[in-house]
Amino acid sequence: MEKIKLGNFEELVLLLVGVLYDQAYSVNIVQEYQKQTGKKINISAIHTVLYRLEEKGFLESKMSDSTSTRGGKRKRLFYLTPYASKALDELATLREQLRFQIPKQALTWNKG
Amino acid sequence: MSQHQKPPPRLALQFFRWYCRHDRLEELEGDLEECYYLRLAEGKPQWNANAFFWWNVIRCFRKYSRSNSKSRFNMTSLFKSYFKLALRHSWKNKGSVAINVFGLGLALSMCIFVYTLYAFNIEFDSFYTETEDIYRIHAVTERSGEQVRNEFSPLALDYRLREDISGIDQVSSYLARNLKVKKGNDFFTQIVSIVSSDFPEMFDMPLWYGSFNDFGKLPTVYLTKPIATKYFGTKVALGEVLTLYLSDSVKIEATVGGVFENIPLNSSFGFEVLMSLEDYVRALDVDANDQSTEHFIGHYLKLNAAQKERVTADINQTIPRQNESNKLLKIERYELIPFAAGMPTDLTEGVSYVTRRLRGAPLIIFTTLAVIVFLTACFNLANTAIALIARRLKEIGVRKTLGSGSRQVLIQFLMETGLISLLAFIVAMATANLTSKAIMGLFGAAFLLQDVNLTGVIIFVVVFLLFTTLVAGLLPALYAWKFQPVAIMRKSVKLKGVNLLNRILTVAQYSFSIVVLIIGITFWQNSEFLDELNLGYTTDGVINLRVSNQYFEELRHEVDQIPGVLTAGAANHIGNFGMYSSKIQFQLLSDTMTHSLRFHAVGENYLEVMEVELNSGRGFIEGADSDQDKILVSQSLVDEFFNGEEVLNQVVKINGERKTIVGVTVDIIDDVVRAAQLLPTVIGLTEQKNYAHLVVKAKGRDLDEVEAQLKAIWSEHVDEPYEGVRQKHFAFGSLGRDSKAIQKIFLVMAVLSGFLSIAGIFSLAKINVAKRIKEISIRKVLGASVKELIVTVNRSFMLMLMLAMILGGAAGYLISDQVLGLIYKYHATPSVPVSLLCGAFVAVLSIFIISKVVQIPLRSNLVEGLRDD
Repeated sequence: MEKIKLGNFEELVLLLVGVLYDQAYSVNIVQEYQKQTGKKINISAIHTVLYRLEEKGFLESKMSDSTSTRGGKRKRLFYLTPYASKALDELATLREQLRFQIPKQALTWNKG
Repeated sequence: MSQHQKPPPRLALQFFRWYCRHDRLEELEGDLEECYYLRLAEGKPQWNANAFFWWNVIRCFRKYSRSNSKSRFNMTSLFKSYFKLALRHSWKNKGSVAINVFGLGLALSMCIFVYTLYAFNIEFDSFYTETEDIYRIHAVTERSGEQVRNEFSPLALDYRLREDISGIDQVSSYLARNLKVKKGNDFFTQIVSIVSSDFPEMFDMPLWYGSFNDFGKLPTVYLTKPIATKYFGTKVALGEVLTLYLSDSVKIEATVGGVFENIPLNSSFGFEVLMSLEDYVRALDVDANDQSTEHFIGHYLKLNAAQKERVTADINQTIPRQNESNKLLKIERYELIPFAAGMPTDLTEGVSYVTRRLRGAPLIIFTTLAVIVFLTACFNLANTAIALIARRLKEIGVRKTLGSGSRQVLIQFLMETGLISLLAFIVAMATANLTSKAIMGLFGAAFLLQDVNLTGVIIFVVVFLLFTTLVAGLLPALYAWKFQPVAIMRKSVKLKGVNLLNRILTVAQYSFSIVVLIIGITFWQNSEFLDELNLGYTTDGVINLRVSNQYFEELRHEVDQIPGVLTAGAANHIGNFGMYSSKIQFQLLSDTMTHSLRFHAVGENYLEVMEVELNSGRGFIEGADSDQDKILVSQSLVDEFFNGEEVLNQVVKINGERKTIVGVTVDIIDDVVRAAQLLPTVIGLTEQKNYAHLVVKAKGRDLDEVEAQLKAIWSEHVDEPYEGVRQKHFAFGSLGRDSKAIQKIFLVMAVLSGFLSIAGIFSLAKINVAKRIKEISIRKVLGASVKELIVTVNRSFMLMLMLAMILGGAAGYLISDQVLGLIYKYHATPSVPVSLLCGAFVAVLSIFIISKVVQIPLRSNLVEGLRDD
């Protein structure tokens, strides 16, 4: 498996972009993040990660059409690239594999 | 939704638009606004949404949003070129830049030194943690009709505090004495703190090594790091044995129980060796519960603030019993003072064993000095900068024509001053420790940069430098700013080379340096004055040996063998701030009132050896037993009790015994510094069995040599450490030496500020000549002589110097008189002619220098001057 450089938080944002397909822009991602994880996050943290992921090639983006909600300002929508979907798959598989290799006893709290 | 709601804060938005890169502005601004409106939609108040927007704008100031376009590159390159220009110009004017850098640097290091003095006070006792509930006990007593605050209380109170008074969590006691410590065969005199065994715990004294386990149980001593190193080098001191001499006859052998971490100078408890009060009391055989003892110690209490009133009242209830049994000291009341608070200034300070915050004269003197020197340096910087601009008018004009904004010109000039300040900063930091060593070293221990919180120093210096840059740099920068390029190019700008501002600055600067010079010279005169002050007895070549009576005879016999030496014995020797004198009750026969007066019991030829001068009558006759009931009195006693009438052969009562006055001595001054008035003194004869001092006079001989011989004889006959003291050091205490130190400091400062002033006027004169080069040349062509030209061109300078001379002379006279009065009881008066002479000296020197400047163009080819540019 080639080495994928993807941080934990980056992976989470990638997943959120995937979940919000076609509606994935920063404000939405912030709200979705809070909804899914129950944790608060500042929008600038999401911005940082989104632009970084785009630079790394995990995301591509385009400007939306202008709407009246943001005072006519357009928003930048993000989409997963094939590289991202491959990375997500690989990471998920790896996790799953590892998860099922854990012996049952290890997961029950061993008092002895 | 946005139509009905208030838009986000405009300023924040502007800020965001300013820093955000253009290609991302739309989306990011949209995001931020959306967040803002969402916030409002959640029902949050307007201020909350505004704050949130601001917060987001600040948070978004990151790499992804900041523009990295060309404009930023331009900014840096612009600053780079400003910097380069500043460097080039500074290099061109190396001379004046160097003067400014060193002047300002030294002035700043002086300021840093003063700052460390204040930091000494501010950080005082910060070494001890958790002192909020600790209180000092102060005893208010009366001394000659005045209430005095002492940080001590009788030893017997210790028992009361521990046993009788409730509500006190912890009690500890502290006492400091200069004791002789013997290690092997060597004697050292050290400051020994004697503390109760709970003291280390109460103040959380950190040990470097060792423990307090045996403290108070077995005789143990604790050393500070420097003392441990002095005694034992790198060896571990634990278990070593030292002998402490508690009095002439009592000594105690103690084992070293540990070594303290370094204890900073600015803490209440400053000591070198620590021993326990229990050992001390046991060794001296003092009854700790005896109210009549003369042992007084400092007491420290730990208690809840709510209990303070009640405990104070309880302690005060012990006073009647205490005063009844102790005749030595009457206590009026006790007060509890919070440990961390400074000493209250309501009453005169009496006795205490602890170190105090710095106060009074040294702080005032050094602050004044630092401010004066700093202002001189600043003025000089501003002055030279303005003068230098004159040469760069064209540069400013060209730059402005080429499109440089006024703001950029301003920045350029500020940058140049900033560069000088930066270099001065380096000089200041490098020399700060040297300065404080040079100044404080003369007085003893120096408090250095590493002893204070360095962050504070750095902040102080940076703020100071920003201030300097703004004050000294803004003037010339504004000056450059307002020029109109067209006017410059047309040459219609009249740079008023020496305008009013320059004049004021120069006059102020000169006055300051004259003031400093006068103070320096006055202190010089004062130390001469102190040297020659008639104390009523001789100090020249006199050495005083305190000696136990049992060795006296033997010792005197041996010392008499040294050629050229005279000896005498005394029970109460003169000198050392009157510490050796005793008190007697003096009573006139016609009066029932007795007066407590100072008394000196002396041996037969003591008066001759000490050269005590007589106003009338005679001294004691050698070998005459009849003189036992005769006394001498001082002139001030005659003035006070006899209204100046004839006193010889009058009979008075001394301690109830009748004595005849046979002579009147001049007044004896044994405390130059603090004596508030002349003290009436009685001198009487005493027998050899009472002698406690051997006075040795070796006039005209090398004292070092005599002292070496004395030491040799001493070690042969006496089983105690040698403690001879030269009389000269007595009456002046440390202040005689201090006077010399202060004089040195002021003279150095005078040279420094005078140098700065002259450098300043030099550049002013230069610019003045440059400006008037055509006028000078034309005058010369028309036949004016060099002398006439010098006078014409420099008339304004001369006026300024005259003004500075008068101002500085007057201020110097007044200030030095004030400063001397602050420190000394007896001091020289500053003289008016000397003040004027100082001013005149500086003025003449400056006139000489500026006339040299004028001569340069006069001697050169006139055609050059007329052609100009």
